[in-house]
Amino acid sequence: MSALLVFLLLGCLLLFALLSFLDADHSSALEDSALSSLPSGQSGFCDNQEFASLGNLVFSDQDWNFIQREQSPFLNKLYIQERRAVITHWLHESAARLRAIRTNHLQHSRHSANLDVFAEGRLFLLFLYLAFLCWSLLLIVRFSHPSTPRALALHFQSAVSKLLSSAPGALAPASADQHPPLSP
Amino acid sequence: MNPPNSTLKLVDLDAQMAYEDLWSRTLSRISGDLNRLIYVASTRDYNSGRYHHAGLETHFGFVAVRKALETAHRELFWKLSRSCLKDLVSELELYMQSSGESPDDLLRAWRSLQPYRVAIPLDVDPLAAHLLLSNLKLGLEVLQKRRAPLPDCP
Repeated sequence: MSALLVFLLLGCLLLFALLSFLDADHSSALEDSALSSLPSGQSGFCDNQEFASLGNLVFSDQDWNFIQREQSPFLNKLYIQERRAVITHWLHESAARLRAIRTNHLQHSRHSANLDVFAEGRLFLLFLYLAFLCWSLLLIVRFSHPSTPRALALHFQSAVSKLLSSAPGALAPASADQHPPLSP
Repeated sequence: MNPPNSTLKLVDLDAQMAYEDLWSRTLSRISGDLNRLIYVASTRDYNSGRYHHAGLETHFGFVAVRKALETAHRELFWKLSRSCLKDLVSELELYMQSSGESPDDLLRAWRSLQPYRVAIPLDVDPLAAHLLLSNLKLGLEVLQKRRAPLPDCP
């Protein structure tokens, strides 16, 4: 019984952490830039393909194999340190983009006349899942070799792309007529 | 040697002509994209961030030349930032050979001063810039290790 309570408590903590992650301060420079890059009437990520190609590059094994052939522990250590910093940057930028999409979507859905509650719920769970993946990747990269979570990172990347392609209209910024001025 | 994106069309016709002229007369004669990147970056004013090329400006005008140089700079940056470490090390070797400096002096200066940091164009993706700078740092250490295998410390 007490184990169940502990699991429930941990579950609540995780959910709270993920919600905090999704509702983090929107004033960061990264997020501002991600928000400003949302073109009206489009899916949200203007540079999604570019961003994905950079993701493939930073998790690639090719560079690690090249460094290993040099047979220098110093180079190995430096590579891990450098690549870890780049991957952390990539993940922070991913999180900022995710938050920007969610903010954008919330603004859109708040003014929508025919809201599909089931679809909104599914989308919210998808946001939670992606936030969890992003968090997990940050932890894995911090404590293991940078190329270890390659498969998970590619899954995360494809899930974000799927999110964008599945509901492009829903993720687009609300147009002016969907934001009527508030009546006094 | 063709430009990285030979189908590029600049909106401004003068800028397009300046871009083609830049490639055919200058950049195609420079070996290696890193050499080209450093060359184009050197035409940028440190204080204003604006590009200047006296020769081109007499033919195409200041604004067109600025756009042409900016475009070439971004393209070269894009290509290098997507290069694998192995290719980047080859680019660094080519740069060392063509610089006319002693490789040891150049390596020492580049590893300590990191002058390649000023070769990044304005307003590019910070992640791509981070990746390229990180790979250049690693590439320089690889070359240093190949020239003088040091005990495993920086």
